[in-house]
Amino acid sequence: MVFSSLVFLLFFLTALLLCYYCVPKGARWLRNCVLLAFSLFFYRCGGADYLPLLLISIGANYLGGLLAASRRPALKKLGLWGAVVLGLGLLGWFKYAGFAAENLRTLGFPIEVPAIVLPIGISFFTFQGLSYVIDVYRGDAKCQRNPLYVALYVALFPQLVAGPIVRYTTVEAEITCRNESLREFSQGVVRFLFGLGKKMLLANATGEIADGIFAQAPETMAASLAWVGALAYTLQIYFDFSAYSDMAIGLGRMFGFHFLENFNYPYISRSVTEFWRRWHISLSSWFRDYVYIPLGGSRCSGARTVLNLTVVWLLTGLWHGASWNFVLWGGWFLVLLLGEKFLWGGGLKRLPSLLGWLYAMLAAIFGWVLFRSSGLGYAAAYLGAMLGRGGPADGQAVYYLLEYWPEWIAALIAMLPVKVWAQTWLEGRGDRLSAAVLDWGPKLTALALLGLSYLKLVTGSFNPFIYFQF
Amino acid sequence: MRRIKISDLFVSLCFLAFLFGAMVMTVVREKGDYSFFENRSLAARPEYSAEADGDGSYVNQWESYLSDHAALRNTLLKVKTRADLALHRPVVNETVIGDGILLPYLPAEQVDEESISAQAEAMADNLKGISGTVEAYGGYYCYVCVPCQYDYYPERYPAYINNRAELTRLSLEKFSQAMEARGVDFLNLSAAFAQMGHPDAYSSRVDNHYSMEGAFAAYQMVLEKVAERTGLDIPILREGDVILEELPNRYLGSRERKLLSQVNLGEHLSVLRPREEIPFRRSNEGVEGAASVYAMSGSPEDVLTYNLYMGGDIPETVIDTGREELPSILIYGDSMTNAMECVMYLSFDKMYSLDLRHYREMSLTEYINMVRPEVVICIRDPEALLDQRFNGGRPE
Repeated sequence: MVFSSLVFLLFFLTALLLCYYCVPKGARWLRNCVLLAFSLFFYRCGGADYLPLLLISIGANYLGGLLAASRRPALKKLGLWGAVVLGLGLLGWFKYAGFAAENLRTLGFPIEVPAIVLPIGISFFTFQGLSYVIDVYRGDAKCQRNPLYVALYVALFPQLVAGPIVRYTTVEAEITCRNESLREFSQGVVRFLFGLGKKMLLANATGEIADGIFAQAPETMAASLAWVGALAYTLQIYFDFSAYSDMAIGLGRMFGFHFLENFNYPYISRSVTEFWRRWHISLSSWFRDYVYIPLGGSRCSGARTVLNLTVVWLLTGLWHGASWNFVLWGGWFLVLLLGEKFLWGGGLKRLPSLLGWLYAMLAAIFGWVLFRSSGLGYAAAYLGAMLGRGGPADGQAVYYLLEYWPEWIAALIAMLPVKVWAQTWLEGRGDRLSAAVLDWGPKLTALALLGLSYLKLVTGSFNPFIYFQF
Repeated sequence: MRRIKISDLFVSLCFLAFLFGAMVMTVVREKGDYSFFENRSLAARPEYSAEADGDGSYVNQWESYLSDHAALRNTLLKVKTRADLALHRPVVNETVIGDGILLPYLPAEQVDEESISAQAEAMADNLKGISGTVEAYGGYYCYVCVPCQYDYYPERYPAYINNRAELTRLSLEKFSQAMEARGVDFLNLSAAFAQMGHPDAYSSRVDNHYSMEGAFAAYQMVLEKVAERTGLDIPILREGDVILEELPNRYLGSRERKLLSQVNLGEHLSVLRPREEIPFRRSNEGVEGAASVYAMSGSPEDVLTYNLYMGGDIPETVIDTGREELPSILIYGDSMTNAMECVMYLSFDKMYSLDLRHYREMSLTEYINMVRPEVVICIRDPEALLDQRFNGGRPE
């Protein structure tokens, strides 16, 4: 079940809101039970067969947390490493066993490639659960002794299947004590509807373009078409994933939770380093805090820093998918980040902003081509097409530009911090009209987006979520 | 502070009212099983199965069902179509919006000459088998290609949208060669109409099919070919033998239908009647019905579709004019046969018609051997020319 679906909007969410808000505010435990029951049902809708896996993960993290909070070092370590081994073991089996077997088979080992279906959201809830146990082990978070609350943290439906990866410390206090209010609810509604609109109006449209172009053979593809496809996918993945994060943050707000931001206008970055500070912030910070810094971070020799970054980016690539093109994608950003850190970072800062932006955008676009490609061969051929191997231009590129012209314009505007600029400008004016626009503008826009999104939901059938595959 | 509260309350209430209102309307909405404008069956209510529940497809089936039966769906489809037209998108609902014409959208495709050759050879082999069945009892077989809309108006496509001209040219060329090599007659009316300069009156601007005028011209060319190859004495009706009458009803062509009737190019359908009436009996799938080849409407206000001709795609139709001195004919093919059948029966004793997309009683060769018509004609268009399914099927 995705947020941008009629089943979710008309039935799941309405039933949840009704049940949740019928429970008195004082009966916090009961409200939490309602939220947990609906969250588990939400996950079950994606496939009842996978629910036991989520429950095992919750159990392992609960026990791991209890042990990690122990005063006895041996038990602490057992709790930590038990949860890590079990969590990563399950993730490894479901996500990487097929990939590993395939590669071993290619190398000549007589191994059967197991046909394993990837459970929805396993990468997200595994990382989330691990962050809880690690934080308890480190003493950064208190151990939660109520298993229902650990379950609620891991399974909370807004971020369960596609993030953002919420740290336990972020919602620790709100699980037991939060303040649902009309203001919070309305802010949640507005945020959710902006995300829904982003998904239905921009991500799906750019996704149609990208899917139409990436389905074609790149060997004979004209450069113009290859670039249109790459740009469309660049926009799709941003609007798709950031829309999901917007909806998750908005839904959390409706029930009194405050999740941290996951995106901060990444396509205005002027370096790859800046891009990764603005893109999928919850994943970047997870790897920084739980892998990079424990390995020594950058406070060590240059060679060791390179090794640490290599480990992080290899894992980041693999986290996104069990395929060599994801490894290459991680490697692409590793090279650029190392280059900025040790070679051209200083020069980059002295470049005019526009050139810096162009460099970062090209880095992102080429990266997304690696990410989107079905394999290394396809990626190489597609990049070749972008560089003009299939001729300079053809009519299809014109078709995709003209057919989707409103979406191209809206997407290019929406990737810029126009909202922030408008807000700053209106706040600066300080008159009554500006105040009214600031108050009513986002809300009326959100309601208009709801209408348009419903129209698209009812009349269109193209509605995938990219990050569900992770 | 008060204003903020009002706006918060307003957006929250609107959101909740929308969700609950849409849910209630969706639940109580009358559920149909067919969408006329989309020309497709709507999703059926999902049936529970443990397997579908286990892999998550059960909820996906519900999503498809709800999407097809959501509150205000038909209205919203029209609103979306209107909006897309107003935004001047070149393609709306898979329809290319041209100047005074609506054409099918053809996604870009690779034209592979080798693959086309192989398909043409395979198709010609199949037809050789059917032709052999007919010739075995002394009958005559001819495969006819009539132009469909994209083949008739390739120059009306914008330069940046595929018009399939190269694919059509290669298909016809390779297929002609393959048929000639096997000695099976192939009548390329696509080329014949092109030589005539694609007269506007012969094709529809809002539908995939040729007009009644086009069908009548095709009928004459087919029978000239049959007469020339068989020496049969077949009466061929000419312009002076028939009356062509344009109907006042609005014609909803398949392209206008795809646009949910939000565009009306003002085209009308015509019916063709012989000056000298020829009585006949008609049966559909063995059941005798009204002796008419036009599904006429009682009121000029009613909207007509291409189903006017022969009543649409019917698995089997037999028209018997009781003139035993004339030969009999079997026409099979897709909807391109319908308009031509409205005039073809006038030249024969019996006319048998099959649409193998729907006919299930027996195979084509069994049917041919059962009725043994003197003439067997297959009518298809460039889109289906090399398609071996249904009406391009192998002889069993």
